[in-house]
Amino acid sequence: HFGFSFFVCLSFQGVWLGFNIFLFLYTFLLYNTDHSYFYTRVILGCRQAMRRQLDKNITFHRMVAYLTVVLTAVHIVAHLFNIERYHESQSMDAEELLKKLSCLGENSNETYLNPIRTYDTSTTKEVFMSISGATGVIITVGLVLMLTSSTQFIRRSFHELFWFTHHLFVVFFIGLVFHGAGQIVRGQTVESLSNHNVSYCKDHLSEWGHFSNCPSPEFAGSSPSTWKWVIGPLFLHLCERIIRFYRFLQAVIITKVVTHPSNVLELQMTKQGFKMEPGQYIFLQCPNISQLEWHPFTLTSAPEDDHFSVHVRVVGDWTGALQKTCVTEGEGGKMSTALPRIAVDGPFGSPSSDVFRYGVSVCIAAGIGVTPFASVLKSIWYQFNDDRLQTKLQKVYFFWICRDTSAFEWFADLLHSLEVLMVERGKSQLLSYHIFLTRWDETQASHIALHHSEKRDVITGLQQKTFYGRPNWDTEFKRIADNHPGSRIGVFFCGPKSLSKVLHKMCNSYSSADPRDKIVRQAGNVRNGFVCEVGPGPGGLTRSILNAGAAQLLVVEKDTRFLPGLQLLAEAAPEKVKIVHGDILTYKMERAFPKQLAKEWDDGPPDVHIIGNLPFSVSTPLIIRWLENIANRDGPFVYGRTQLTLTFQKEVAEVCS
Amino acid sequence: MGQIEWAMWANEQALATGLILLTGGIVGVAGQFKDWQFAAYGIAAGVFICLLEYPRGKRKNKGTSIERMGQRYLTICVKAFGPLTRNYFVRAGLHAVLSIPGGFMLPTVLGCVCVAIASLIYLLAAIRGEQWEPIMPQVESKQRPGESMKEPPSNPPPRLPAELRRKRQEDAAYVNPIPISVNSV
Repeated sequence: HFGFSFFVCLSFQGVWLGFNIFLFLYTFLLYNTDHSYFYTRVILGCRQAMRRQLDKNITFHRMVAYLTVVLTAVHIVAHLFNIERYHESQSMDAEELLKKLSCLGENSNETYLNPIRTYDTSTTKEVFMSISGATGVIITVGLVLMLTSSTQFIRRSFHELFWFTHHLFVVFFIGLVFHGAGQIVRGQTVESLSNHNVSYCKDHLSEWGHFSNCPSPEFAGSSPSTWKWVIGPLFLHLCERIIRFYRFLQAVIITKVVTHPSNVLELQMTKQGFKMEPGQYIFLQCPNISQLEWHPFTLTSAPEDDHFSVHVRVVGDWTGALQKTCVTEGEGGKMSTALPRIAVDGPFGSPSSDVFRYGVSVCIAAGIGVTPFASVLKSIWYQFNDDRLQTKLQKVYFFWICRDTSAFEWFADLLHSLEVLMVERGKSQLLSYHIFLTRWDETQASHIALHHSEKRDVITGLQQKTFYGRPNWDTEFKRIADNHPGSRIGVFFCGPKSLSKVLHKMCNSYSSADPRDKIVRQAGNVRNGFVCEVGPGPGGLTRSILNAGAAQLLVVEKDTRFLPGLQLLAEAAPEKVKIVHGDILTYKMERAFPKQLAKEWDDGPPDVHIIGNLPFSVSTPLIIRWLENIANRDGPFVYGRTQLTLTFQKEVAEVCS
Repeated sequence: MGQIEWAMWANEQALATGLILLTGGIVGVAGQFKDWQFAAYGIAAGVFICLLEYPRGKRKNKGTSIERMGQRYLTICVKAFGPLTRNYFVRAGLHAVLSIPGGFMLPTVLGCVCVAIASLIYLLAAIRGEQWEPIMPQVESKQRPGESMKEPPSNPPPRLPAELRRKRQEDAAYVNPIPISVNSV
């Protein structure tokens, strides 16, 4: 009976699960491929969003790992208490019911409940003698070893240790599947429950076994169920490993090996059926060096090349060994049979493939992070060689921040040929590149200073001069945002995390489409400055000024109807807003702000701004009045060259000019 | 694999184990298990191991040593024990001894096994000749100006004697209203 019900249960679960999967897949495929949803897909950009989630696989893996560790701890603590209670129930001092339950199973036709059969044992011994306990200890030890070798410090500094120890996951999963085979957690069988009424019998221990209403209860262990959860993901992982093995068997021919300065090795390879997009990466394995190590490298060639290449920087054991096996010592070329066998897995996606989907793209690379953009730029080169292709991409800004000059060399050739091509095609505006050198010594500095006025840059040989120091991202982003108002600009970055955060903030702060924020941005650096707003009205521009971080805001409003709204705004920004109910033409501005802000006329502008969307009737007399003030250096100009940012009617502006 | 400093991993392992022993000990004491005295030992041993292993040693080979947050004070304490903490054979032995009482009670068994493993890794590190070096704060060397900037001159430039330097009256382009002497300001 038990077996049959088990199968019914299982098949029902299977049917329900299968039906759900079928429904999901059917609907997904329908939305993905059916023509009636074509435009829906275009608007939602479905394909990219799904793929984007798969890029975050390592983050997901780490989250799951943390969760596993926490839940393992909880599980172990809970079972520690359980085993102790089981053991206690066997002692002479235990409660009546517990003793009775623990005694069950002494006779041959009885099933037992308490897995610990006697008090004369230790819990430790019991645990190690049971399948569940032994597997539990083994897999927990494995988990602890995996955990301690996966800390960031060990991963970064001793990667092989991390990689090899992590393969203990095989032990972990095998043990996990068998962990429940001992069936230690036991429950009363369905059949026994129908005979033995628990709520009555638990208080009438003496009647057990003797009267018909309390026959001895029967127990059976709960069947292991972990395998149902893990079998799906393990199957997927197995598939991935099989695919990698299949790719390992495919032949990869190294066509060329180039050594570049600063320990960079370029490998050019071909493989049948290899298709890539710009900016993707592959895993390389060299059986001569190590059978088990696969290392990721970004592809630096374009899809239009007849080969694919990677640039490898020699930093550790594996890359050092790669250099030794690939590079010939002495004269003469190595025969192609002498080059080692290489296996390639991939290519795998990365965000930089999206560069071509924007009208304007900004590519920022730090150090060796230039590799995906090398691929992108090469692809651009090919696409512009071929006149027939129409690309959406109209403008590319490329920033490269580098520590030594020697890193430029292998990339400078590419930039140079791009430069030449752009000029030939008359599209020199397409690519605007800026190279920043952040570290130099004295000899270099003097050499640079000496050749400063030459036409070509002394370091890179390119027409565009190298900049020194780090870029001022505020200025760069402002320039780009102002050059392309209202368009979607894609910003791509490859480099260290700290810079990534800075750029993220920049993107956010320059992404406002609100024209009022743009006006305030036009005023320059309003943060912690003193601002006088002329004619705030309902307060739209006022809010933008406050959001930009002004320290003190003085608003001069003549119309009484707007004052309550402005007062609410002043309450929301306490100590910051002062409201003057008056006429700007008669207001004495020289008393508005503290005297300390004043600066000399020849020094830079003071931290005082006048911003305003000028009221219609007042714009002309106000401008005339201010021009007089400038000449006399009074009024708002007692503070120095107070900055004015004003908007007014087009006709007024035309009259002014 | 040749460049691995096993002591770094042993340190991570031992620190994790300290926490495991501590947790096991707390479970044993809080649940008033049989033989809970071993659990109390587990708490003490766990805390001791955590304090001993918290300061990370300096890396022998190239590479930056990364400190754990706030390890400065513990580094000073651990350093004070001199060769006892510097030598990894001693640490291996110490961990091996500490692990034994954990084996007598179920909640601390896991801690016992993990400490034993940490002890083995330390043994391996000690055999390969590694040592615990404290990470001490770098003393900032004073900013030296570049090579081309020498000391400012300490002597005035060589001049002709005062009599020859004084302008001759007939050659002067103008006449000073106030007579000028060598040291007048």
